[in-house]
Amino acid sequence: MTLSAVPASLRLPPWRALLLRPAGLTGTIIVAIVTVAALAAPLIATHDPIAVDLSRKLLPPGATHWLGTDQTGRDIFSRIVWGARPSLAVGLLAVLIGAAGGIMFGLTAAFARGWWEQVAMRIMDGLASIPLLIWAIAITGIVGIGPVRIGMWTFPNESKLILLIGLLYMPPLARVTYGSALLEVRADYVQARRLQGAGASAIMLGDVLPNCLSPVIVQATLLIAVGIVVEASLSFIGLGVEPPFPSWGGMLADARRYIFSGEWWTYIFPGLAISLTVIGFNLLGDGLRDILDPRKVSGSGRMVV
Amino acid sequence: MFVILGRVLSSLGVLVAVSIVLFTLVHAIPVSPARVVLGGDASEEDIAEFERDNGLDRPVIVQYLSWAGGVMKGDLGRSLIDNTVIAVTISQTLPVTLELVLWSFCLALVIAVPLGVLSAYHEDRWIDHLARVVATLGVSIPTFWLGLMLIAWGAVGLGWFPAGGYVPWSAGAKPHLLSMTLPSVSLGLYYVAIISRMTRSSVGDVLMADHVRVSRAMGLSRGRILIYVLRNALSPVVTVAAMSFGYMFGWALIVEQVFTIPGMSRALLNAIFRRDYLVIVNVVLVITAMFLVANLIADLLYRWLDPRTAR
Amino acid sequence: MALLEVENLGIGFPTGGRIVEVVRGVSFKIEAGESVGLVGESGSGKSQTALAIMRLLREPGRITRGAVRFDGTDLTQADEATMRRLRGGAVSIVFQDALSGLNPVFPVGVQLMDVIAAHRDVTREQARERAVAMLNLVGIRNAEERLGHFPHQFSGGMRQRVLIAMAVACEPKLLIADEPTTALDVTVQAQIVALLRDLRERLGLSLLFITHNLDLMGEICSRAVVLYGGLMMEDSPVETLFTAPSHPYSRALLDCVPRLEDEPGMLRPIEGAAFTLATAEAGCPFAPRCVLADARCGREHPPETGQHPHRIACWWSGS
Ligand SMILES: Nc1ncnc2c1ncn2[C@@H]1O[C@H](COP(=O)(O)OP(=O)(O)OP(=O)(O)O)[C@@H](O)[C@H]1O
Ligand SMILES: [Mg+2]
Repeated sequence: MTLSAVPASLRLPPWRALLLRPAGLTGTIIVAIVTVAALAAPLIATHDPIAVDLSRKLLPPGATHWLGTDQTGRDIFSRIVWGARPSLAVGLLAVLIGAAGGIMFGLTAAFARGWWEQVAMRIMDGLASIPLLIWAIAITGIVGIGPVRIGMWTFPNESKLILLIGLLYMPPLARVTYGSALLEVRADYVQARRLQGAGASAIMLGDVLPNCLSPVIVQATLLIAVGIVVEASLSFIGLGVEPPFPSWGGMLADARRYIFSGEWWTYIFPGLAISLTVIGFNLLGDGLRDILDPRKVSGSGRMVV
Repeated sequence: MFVILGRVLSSLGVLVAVSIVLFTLVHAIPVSPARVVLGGDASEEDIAEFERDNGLDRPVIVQYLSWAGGVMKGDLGRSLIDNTVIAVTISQTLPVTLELVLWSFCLALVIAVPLGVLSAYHEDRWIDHLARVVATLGVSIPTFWLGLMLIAWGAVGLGWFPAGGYVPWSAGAKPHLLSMTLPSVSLGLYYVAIISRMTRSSVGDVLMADHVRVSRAMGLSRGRILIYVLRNALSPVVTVAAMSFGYMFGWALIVEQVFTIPGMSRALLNAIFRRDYLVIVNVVLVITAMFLVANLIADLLYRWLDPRTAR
Repeated sequence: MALLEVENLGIGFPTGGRIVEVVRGVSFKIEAGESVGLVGESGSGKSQTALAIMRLLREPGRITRGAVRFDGTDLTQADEATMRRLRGGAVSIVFQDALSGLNPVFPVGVQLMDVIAAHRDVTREQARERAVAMLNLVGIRNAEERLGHFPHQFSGGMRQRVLIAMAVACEPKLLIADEPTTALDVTVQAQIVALLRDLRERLGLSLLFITHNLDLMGEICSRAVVLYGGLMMEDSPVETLFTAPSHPYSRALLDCVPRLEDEPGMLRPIEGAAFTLATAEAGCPFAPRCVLADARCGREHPPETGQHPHRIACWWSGS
């Protein structure tokens, strides 16, 4: 219809298009760095993140301690590198749970129609009316801070967070799945596959799901960012990762009092680590949306927490 | 009318469901509250006696009903630990939290709406790019770190603001407002981001609409057209704003910790670390109720603003 | 002096680093009280021409050359304040999107009164009276009560009537109607055209009537400007056009006017691929589909020949 030529970036494979935009590129680089840090923490960290050495406490950044040391002489750089683990674990695992549940509810609701559609979407509405942060605080409060033991396994304190956040992530992911699955279900090719005698689950998982994944991926990326912020905030007030294990929020809790005495490296670097990581996931999510779902204004349509 | 009634009832329903879930959770924990209060070395008899005194030996459903009956009469029960009246604790702390939330909310609206409108009007100009940067930072910088940085800058560095604490109104308006400034900014920035982006996209959509072209073609003034546009773009913005108001109570707890403000968070965290179950349940319920009311208002405003569903 | 003189008007959109002109030097005139049709296939540049006259082109579109003289002032040079005074005042427009043309969240009365108040120094009461009079004029009954209704409470045809009432509320000298009936069904179309004809006589306004539909144009216009590929092909009195079209494109258009068995008033497609600007070259845009075309037609655009009121741009028009 219009004369305007298709922007060059739209004709490229999606990952190329993503990397061609400054936001997408920055996001991808940050996320890659954080992921590598989390996976290869033992290799990257220069010191033992929990080794206390009071003779080396509160050293400013220097040659041996790149980002300085904290009040018990632990190496801040190493703690930040290790701290990427709980952050990403909470962010990713919660989104995985949320996506699994959300896709299941959204997809089956779009397919089944009728009563199940009503019930599934009502359940999602109910979950959506629960404020995430307060409940994360409440659940840890009621269940108690500390590791969870189930049989022979022990799960760290933050696994409660992962479960709860995952649960509360289901509604937004179910809604985007449901929305795009509804359009797909009405499409001709689904009717054709039905006539060919393909089973409902084969159509659902094999044909419909792949076609409505893009908005789910966009939303999920943005939700990882939310999870990381929630984990850090709860660790900051002492309800998340338990000391002495390193977490960015926990490091900031320790560093509070040094705001007044001037040891700036104790509270600047962990805060930068969180903020940059979260910016990375947000930029990646917005970049993905620009490519996969270009009608939306970037930054709108986020899940509010 | 029926729609409104339905929404009110369903909000109440959610609240009841939530309270049941909380109560069940408390009692699903294998450790008895009595054990927590009396300590690990208390004898079985002491525990049984404590449970009997506090009615903890009754079936959960009975305990729930008696508590719920109390709530109807405004009696939220007493703390198991120090026997304080929970309703009093809440009535002392809730106003502080509410004030913090209100300031942040107003601040967020005052900045976000003009920012969103300007960036929609000047798509792809510097103000739009600036708004996008602000929004990305706003959703990314965690509230509590922003708070710490503001203390480092505004209190320790410049010395303009107190580093924390809550100065009551009675101590003078200026000190009071100064003590609320940094907390409100740190709580508000995230919502500046959320609301400005929503405004931007909503106003942007309306600007593309046929009826705006008609208004321009009929020679209406810019101001009049702005009013036309805003009134159209309002519904989604109002919804997000009202919901934000509800969510702010959660983050307010964190901000109160950063700035040592004696709001609900102190009561809640004390209760959590002392495992004072009944206080936890009640505080969480109060905040959830705030959240539900905000959602309800969002929903009603949305209906009321749209002439197709109004009245 | 004519009421409106469009002279060598060009409209361009920046595309991939250069400006593509979608209207490439179109000229025509409208005398006071005259009613002129602007016809042509979809994409020929009719709406852009209308929007350019009102200076309402959507970003990033802009006027690249030429002049639009209304009552002697060149609108392409006028400042925004002047344009705002003219729009809805002396020059007004009705768009084709009747369903979405009214603001959904304001009562139509407010919208009408706002237009009146923007151009007239009136009290609220006077604006209200005028609004009622206008709704009566366009044939909406219970006007008093209807003022308080929202657009969704009106049918499509009624909404278009309201939009027409808005457009003529301040007694424009020129009304542009851009396919005012396309969004409506056939019986309503006829009513709207009848209304426009009636208004034209009563208010003595000039009309630029943009349409695909030659039948409708014949009913309301005395002269027609035929556009193709952003260029004027022929400008001719309607009778001459219908009985003896000079330009091969006009002839093709008329051949496409339906026989009895077709849906009334609709164009049937002309043979050959429709013109696209992307492949536009220097020659006559119609050359690739024209039965008469030779090498020169494809190479050089023909100059305009003839005098107002009958001008033609075709190498073959003289012979
Ligand atoms: N924003 C734009 N960018 C580039 N080209 C545009 C833009 N808007 C319109 N055009 C082009 O301008 C040309 C003329 O469009 P116009 O809307 O004037 O056609 P029209 O004659 O009114 O057609 P219709 O009968 O379909 O309304 C078309 O080729 C169209 O593709
Ligand atoms: Mg058009």
